[in-house]
Amino acid sequence: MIPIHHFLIISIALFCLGLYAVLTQKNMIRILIGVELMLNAGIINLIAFGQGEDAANEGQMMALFAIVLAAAAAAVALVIILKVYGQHNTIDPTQMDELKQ
Amino acid sequence: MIVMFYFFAFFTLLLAVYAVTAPNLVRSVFALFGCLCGVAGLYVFAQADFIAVAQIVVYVGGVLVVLLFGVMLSDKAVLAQVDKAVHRVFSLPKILALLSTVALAVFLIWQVMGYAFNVGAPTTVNTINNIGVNTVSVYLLPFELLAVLLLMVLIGTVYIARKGTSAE
Repeated sequence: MIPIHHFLIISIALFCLGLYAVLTQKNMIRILIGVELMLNAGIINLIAFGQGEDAANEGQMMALFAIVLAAAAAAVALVIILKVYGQHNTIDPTQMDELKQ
Repeated sequence: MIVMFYFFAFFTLLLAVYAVTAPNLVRSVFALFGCLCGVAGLYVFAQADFIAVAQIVVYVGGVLVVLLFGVMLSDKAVLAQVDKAVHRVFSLPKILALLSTVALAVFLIWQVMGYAFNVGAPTTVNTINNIGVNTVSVYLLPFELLAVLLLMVLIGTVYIARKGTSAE
């Protein structure tokens, strides 16, 4: 059996990489990639603590719901990025400072 | 088997680093593709076979296709300009972000390593069977709510993306 600490360390590394992407990137699609990495880090934690459950499968069920929610969130975020790009002609979040043109 | 786990972990982290730092956005998306497949491999080692399949179907099949569409629909000149601005120098915000992220990682690893987690022994039961039964019994309400939410996302994204909203 893999020690749970090793899952947690991989999860921490993925989370911090995602956080670094969110903090530094100037491209909204790259920020979305960072958010996806952070979500995956969270799901790894759910799976790691959910191993060894016989009947309830709480960790795995929660992970399944989290994966579906993350996919839905990514689709909505992409549509919003495309719409914002159509209005502002940029995908740099530091230049989006107007609600209406 | 243990060796395979560390192979998957190394592969995942390497591709995650490349996804974050690659100069080319399309390469970055494809690195994320490999990274998410590696994460699915890690799930198998925690006896979550079904979640691994769901990860590949939903993330690799869904999210990445959507991401690639987003990349291809944005203007090439704008992308090049944004990428150039990021890779120009080691700017102060970048160094500060790196320092705070590394500090957070060190703190979290220090906290995690100092704690003995009480996790049950691995089961020999087939969890896919349990997931199927639980989805339509214990977790029926969240399951149905998720179905409604996905319908909302479907209609909402089409509504936002339709032409002519900016003129109104």
